[in-house]
Amino acid sequence: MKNLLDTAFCMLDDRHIEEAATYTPQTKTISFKKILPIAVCFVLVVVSAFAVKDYFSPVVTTVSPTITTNGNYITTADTNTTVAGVVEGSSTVACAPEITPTTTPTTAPATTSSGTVEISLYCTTPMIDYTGWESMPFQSFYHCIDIGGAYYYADYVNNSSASHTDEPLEKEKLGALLYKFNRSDYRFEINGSGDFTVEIYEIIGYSKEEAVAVGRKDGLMKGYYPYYRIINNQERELLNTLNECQTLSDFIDFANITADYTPENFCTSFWVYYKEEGKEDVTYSIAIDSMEKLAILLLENRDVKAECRTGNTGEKLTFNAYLKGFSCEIYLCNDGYLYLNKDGLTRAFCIGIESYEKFFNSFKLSSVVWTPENPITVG
Amino acid sequence: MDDSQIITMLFARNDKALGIVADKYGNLLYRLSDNILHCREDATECVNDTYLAVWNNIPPHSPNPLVAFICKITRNLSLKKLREKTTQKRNAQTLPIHELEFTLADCTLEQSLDARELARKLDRFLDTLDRESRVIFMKRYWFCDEINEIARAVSLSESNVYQKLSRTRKKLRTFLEKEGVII
Repeated sequence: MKNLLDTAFCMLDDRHIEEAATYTPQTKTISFKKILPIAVCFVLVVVSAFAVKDYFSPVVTTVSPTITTNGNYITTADTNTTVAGVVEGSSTVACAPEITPTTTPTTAPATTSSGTVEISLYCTTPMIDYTGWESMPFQSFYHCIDIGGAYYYADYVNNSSASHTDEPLEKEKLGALLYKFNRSDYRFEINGSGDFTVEIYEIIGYSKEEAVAVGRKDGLMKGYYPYYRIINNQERELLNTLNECQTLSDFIDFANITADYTPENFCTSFWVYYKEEGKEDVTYSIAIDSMEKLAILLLENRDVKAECRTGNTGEKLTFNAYLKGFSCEIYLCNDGYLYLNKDGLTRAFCIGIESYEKFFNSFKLSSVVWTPENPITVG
Repeated sequence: MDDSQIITMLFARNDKALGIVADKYGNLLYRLSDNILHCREDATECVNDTYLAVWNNIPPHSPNPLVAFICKITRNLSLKKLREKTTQKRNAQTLPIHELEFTLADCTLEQSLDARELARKLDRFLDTLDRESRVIFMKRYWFCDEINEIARAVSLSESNVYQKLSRTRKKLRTFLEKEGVII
């Protein structure tokens, strides 16, 4: 295929080569003659609209919303839709967290026990799609701790702790500390237990077995810990392009777009860990040295974990991103930057994340399991 | 000076013609070669070899258009040099055309197809495109231009160029499937 294509390209018709070699873009000029009829039509339409507007009621699209049991939330994902439906025992109606209200919700009658109530509530299309994420009982509040590169997480409710490898603290001691730890704080230090500092990371999302840490709640900077900058328009455009990737080919295109970026910091490679069913921990890893390989892995393995390592020292960064499905091709290092590598070299791409919320919103998560009784806490 | 006058000078063995070719197309040729080789010295050498080849081949040839003729020479010389370099260093350098190969990677090529037939089909495919898409396609895969250069040349944003290339590749795949070139 390769040789044939190469040879065929050498035999392409001269006129195509000449055309590309001598091409100059045509200056697009707008002819007054061409635009005049359009302008006249536009004016007529506007005038007509104003003239007849009083004779017609505004068109309202009415859909049946899914109203939750206590009637406080509307979880419809419709954009700019007036929703109507049965509200039982509710006094107010609001958008679910994944929906942003663009108007103040109308308060439904407090005395309504049942019946149809039309609620004027305009909601924007949700950015977050929880599909595929596990439900998270409210009480099951996880924290992630990074101690000198070790990675811990603990379940407060069950008063148990779990850890990954190379822990410098005994599990029991860590568990006790965690149990006592006031979870409204996000940072504490252990003095006299060693020359390390314990950092508590807020967890904004988690998978079945492990938590995902993205940074410190207090936003303090320390060492290689999180820092943020405002995403610029170009990066935003690229992020949008990334989110639109549907096929492997799209993904490769995106990788090419990002090929010329040289951020100040970069990861030199992605290590993708596979989890084998029935086994507790990572079983093996593979260095991803090109976007193509990563894209293929993403397509073939819907549950891979990418871990970013610094290039010079091999130092483990504490962020672990779960790549759930193809909608989640975002890799975030714990410095708050998004990295996409190409060729495993210094060319990489980064997107700064303004805040945890923005980061979270930029993720397309998977399976709506959110309910008012058991909301997913996102920080 | 137009190309026919240059050719007339070459037929008259007037070596000033080469200077005019260099003035008129030197940058284009250098960029084409450099896009393939990524080496200033090698690209300059290929361009100089192109002038020699032009001198040796005109006459007897009287190419029209001239620009396509000399671009083809430069491209072939550059690809040849690239192959030599690749063999020596044992590291394959990626050309943009590999994006096309990747698009067609999972296809099986019709066995009896030869390069000339494929080229004819590619020409026909190019004829189906609008001018802008065709130029972008050629600049990328024939001239090996970088995306930002193409974007500048066609007055579009880089992301627009990427989108157009991506769509063209998809169209190409569909076209080749319809033509029975790939299965």
